[in-house]
Amino acid sequence: MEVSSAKGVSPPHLRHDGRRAATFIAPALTIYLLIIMAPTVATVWISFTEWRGIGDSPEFVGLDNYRHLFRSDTFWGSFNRTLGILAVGGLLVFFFSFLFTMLLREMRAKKFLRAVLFFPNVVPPVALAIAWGVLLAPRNGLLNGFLEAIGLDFATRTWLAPDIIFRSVIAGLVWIYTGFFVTILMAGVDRIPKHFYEAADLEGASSRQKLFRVTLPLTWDVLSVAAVLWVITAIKTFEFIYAFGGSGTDPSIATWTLPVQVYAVALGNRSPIFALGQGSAIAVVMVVLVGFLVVLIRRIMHRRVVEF
Amino acid sequence: MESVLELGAAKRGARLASKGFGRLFVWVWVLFSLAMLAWLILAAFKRNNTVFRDLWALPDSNELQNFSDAWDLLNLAQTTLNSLLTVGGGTALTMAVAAPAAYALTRMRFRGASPMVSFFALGIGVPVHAIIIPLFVGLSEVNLTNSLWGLTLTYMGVSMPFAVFLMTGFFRSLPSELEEAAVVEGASPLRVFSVMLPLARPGMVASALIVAVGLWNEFLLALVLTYDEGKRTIGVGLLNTFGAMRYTSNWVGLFASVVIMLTPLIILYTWLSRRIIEGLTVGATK
Amino acid sequence: MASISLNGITKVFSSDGPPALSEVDLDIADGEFIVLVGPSGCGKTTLLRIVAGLETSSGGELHIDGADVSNVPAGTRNIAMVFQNYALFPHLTVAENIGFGLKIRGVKKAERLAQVENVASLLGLSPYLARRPGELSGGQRQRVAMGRAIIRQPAAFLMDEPLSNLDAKLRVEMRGEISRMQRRLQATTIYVTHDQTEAMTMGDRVVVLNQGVVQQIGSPEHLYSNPANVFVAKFIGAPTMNMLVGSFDGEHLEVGSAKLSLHTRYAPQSGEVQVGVRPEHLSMAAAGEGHFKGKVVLVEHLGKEVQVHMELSEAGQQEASELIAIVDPSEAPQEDTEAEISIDNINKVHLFELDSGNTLTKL
Repeated sequence: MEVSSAKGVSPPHLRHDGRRAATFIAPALTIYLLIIMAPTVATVWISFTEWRGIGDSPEFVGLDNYRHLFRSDTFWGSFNRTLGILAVGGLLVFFFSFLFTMLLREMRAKKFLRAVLFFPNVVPPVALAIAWGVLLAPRNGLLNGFLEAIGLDFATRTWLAPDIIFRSVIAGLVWIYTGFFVTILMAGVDRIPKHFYEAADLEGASSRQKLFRVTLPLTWDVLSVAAVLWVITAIKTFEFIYAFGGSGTDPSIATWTLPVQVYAVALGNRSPIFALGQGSAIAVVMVVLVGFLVVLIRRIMHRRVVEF
Repeated sequence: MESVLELGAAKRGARLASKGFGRLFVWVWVLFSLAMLAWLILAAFKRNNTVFRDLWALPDSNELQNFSDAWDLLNLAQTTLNSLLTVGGGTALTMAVAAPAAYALTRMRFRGASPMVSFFALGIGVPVHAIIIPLFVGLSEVNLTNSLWGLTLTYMGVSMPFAVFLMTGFFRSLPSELEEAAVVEGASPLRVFSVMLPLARPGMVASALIVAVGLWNEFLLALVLTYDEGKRTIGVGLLNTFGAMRYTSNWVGLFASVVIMLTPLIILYTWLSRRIIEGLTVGATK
Repeated sequence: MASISLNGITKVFSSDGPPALSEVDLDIADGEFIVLVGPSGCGKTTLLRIVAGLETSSGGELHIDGADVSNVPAGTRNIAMVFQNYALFPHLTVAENIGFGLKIRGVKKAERLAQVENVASLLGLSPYLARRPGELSGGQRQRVAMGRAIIRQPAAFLMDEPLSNLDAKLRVEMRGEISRMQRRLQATTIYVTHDQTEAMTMGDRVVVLNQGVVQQIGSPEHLYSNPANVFVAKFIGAPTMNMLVGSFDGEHLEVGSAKLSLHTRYAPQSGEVQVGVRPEHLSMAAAGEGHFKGKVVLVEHLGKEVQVHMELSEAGQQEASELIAIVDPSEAPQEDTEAEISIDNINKVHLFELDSGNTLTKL
C-alpha cells in the first residue's frame, strides 16, 4: 500500500485547484501588479535618478537624492512631523479609542455614538479641512468665538500660527481617526463572549482586573492589527493635512509631512519643480518606514492567536 | 465592619463619578462633531457678509443663491458625473475582480494561497505617494492621463488590496459545509462560486461601500492624473473652490459646496452606517 | 443503490502525528445501513468524508459498485450527504434546496418541481416549500436536508451526525423516521454518530472506531453480546459495562468474593484477567449469598428500573471498584446501607486479557 504524505494531497474535488484558482485570481493580481507593485518598484528606481519628468530623460545619480535629503532640514522637518503624528497622534488616538470603547460598552446610545464618532472617516478630507479651518480661524473662528462668548478670552490663540499650526493638524487627525479605531477595538471587544466577564464577576474581579486579565489578552490580535493600521494611516495621511495646511493651495512648510513633501517637490500644482528623483526618494523613505514599523509591531505583539 | 462598608461606598461613588465624567466626555466629543456639522449646514444658508460677524445667529433668509453659486464653483453637473463614472466604475470593477480572487484565496486549497493573501495585504501599506510618479509617467505613455478611463483603472488598482483583504475575511467566515454540500450535489467550481456569492452579499455590499466612499473622497490621484476642467472630479472641484477662497472670499458658497458634497454621504451613512462599520471590522477581527 | 467497499483506507493528516485512519477494511452491501460509531476524534467523520470524496485517503482503495472511485470527484460519485448542521443554502427556498442537485444535473423545471413535491409530501414538508431555511424549526431543517439527499436517488446516503443538533425528544422521533425511510428506499447508508444508542437502534451493522482503528464490525446484538475488546464492551451499552480484575485458570474465575465455574471453555490461561459484567446482568442478593459485598453509595430511580451504585468493600486488588447494577424497583436498597450483589448468569460474564484488553479466545 502506498501512503503519500498529507501535504500536497488535496481532496479530489479540489485537486486541480491550483490552475483553477489561478484563473480566479489572475485579473485581480494583474491589476494589482500593474497599478501598485510595478510603480512601487519603479519609484525605487527613479529615486536613484535625477529626472524632471516627461520630456526629460532620467539620469542615474546613485544615492545623491538620499544624500541630499539627509542633509536637508526641510526633509528632517517633514520626517519629524510624520513621526510626531505617528507617536503623539498615536498615543492620543489609542488613549481616546480605548477610553471610548470601554465607556461605550455600557452606554445605551452605543451604536449612535459610534456612528457619529466614525462619521469623519466617510467625509471628504477637504470638507474636514474646511470645517477645521473654520473652527480654528484666528479672527472669526468658532473656537475663539466660543471661548470669548463664555468669557475665556485669555485662552484664545492664533491656532493657525506657524508655531502651533501642526498641533492643530494633529488635533484634527485625532478627531478624525479616533472614531475609526473605536470601531476596530469595539469589534474586538464585542466578540469576547459575555460569559468570560460573568465568570470574572463571580470571582470578584475588579474592572481593572477585567481589563488586564480578560479584555486585553483576548483582544490582543485586534490591537496588533489596529497598531499596524495606525502606522500605515499615520504615515500616508495626506489629504487633510494638505487641504488644511494650505487652505486648498500649497500648504505652509510648517505643516509638511513626508507625503506632503513628496507632492510639493514632485507634483506640486502652483509652482511645480518636478523633482521626480527627490520626490521618489522621500516616497521610498515612507515605504521603508512603514515596512520597518509594521515588522517591528508584528514582532513585538506576536502572540499565539486565541480561539474562542 | 461599618467603616469597610463606607470605604467601599466611597470607592464605588468615586468610580461612578469617574464613569459619569467619562460618559459626559463622550457626549461632548460627539456633540462637538454634530455641532460643527450643523454650523456648516446653517452657514450654507447665511449671507457672506454676516456669516462670521455673528457666529451663532440663525440664517435670516433662505439663501439658495449660495447653492447656485456652489453649483457653478464646483461645476457640479460635470464633476458629479465624472465622480460617478470613475468611482462607480472603479468600485464595480474592483468588486468584480476582487470577489473571485478572495474566494479562490480562501476557499480553494492550493499551495501559496496564504502567502498570496499576505502579498495582496502588503499593498495596503503602500502609500499612494510611492506609486503616483511612475503611474503618471506610465499612464501618459499609453495616453491614459487626463482620461476618466485612466483614473478608473487607477482607482481599481488602489482599491484592490483592501477590497481583497476585506473579502477574504468575509469568505473565510462562510461555513465550508455549504460548499461541500454543493460539491456533493455535483456542482462545478464556477457553480459553487455562484452559490457562495449570494451568501457573501452582505460582505460584498460593505466592501463596495467602503471602496466607493474612499474613492469619492479621494482627490490626490484625480488632481495629478487629470488636468482638464472637464475631467475634474467633485473632490478636486471642492479643493479648487477652497483654494479660490483666497481671492473670492465667497465663504458661504464654499459651505454650500461642502453641504452639496456631504448630502449624499449623510443620506448613505444614516442608512448604511452599520453595514459600513461592521463590514470594515470583519477583516480586522477575523 | 450500490455496494461500497473500503480496502485498507488510511489517512495521515500530519506526518509526525498518528494516522487519523489506519487500514480500514469494510464491505457494505447494497441497501445496508451501516453505522460508524466512536468517541469524538476517532476518525469516523474523516472516513465518511473520504467516501464522499471531500477528503482524499493517503492510501487504500475505495470501490462503489465495484468501480474504483478514488479519482472520481465528489460531484460525480452519485452520493448524497446529510451534514451535521444540515448545510442548507440560506438564500434558497425549501423547494430550491431540495431540488438543488436536480437543477445542477439539468433536470427540466416541470419534472424537477414534480419530484420536489413528491419528496416534500413524503417528508411532510409540503406546506413549507416556499419558505427559507431560517424560518424552519430544527426538525424541519433536518427533513429538508434529508429531502435534498433522497430526491436524486443516489447510490448511497452519507449522514454525519444528522440528529446531534436536535433536542432529545425530536432525536428519538427522527431516529425512527430515518430508519423507516432507509428501509423503504432500500438505500445503502453510512451513518456517523458518537451516540451508541443511535448505533444500536439504527444500524444493520455497526462499525466501532477508536483512534482511527476499527475495533469491531457486527450487528448491534453481536457487539453487545460478544464485544471484541474492552473498548467495544465499554462503548456499547449504557450504563457502561462493569470492569473488575479477577484471576482465571481457564475454568475457575475468582473475582471479589465470588468463585465461579464458567460453562464456556476458554483457551488455557492463568493469572489475572479483566472481568466485564453488564449492569443489567447483576441483581441484589440476600446477605451471605451475593458475589460482591459493598456499600450502596447512590440509588437512581428511573421509573421502570433502578440503577444501584455500589462501592465494593473487599475489592482487594483493584482501586476503582464501583459496580453499577440495574435492578427492579421492588429490590432497590437504601443508600448508605451494606448490600450484596450477585451475577445472574455466569455465561454473561465477559473475560478480557489484562494488558491488551482483547477478549479471551473461546474454545
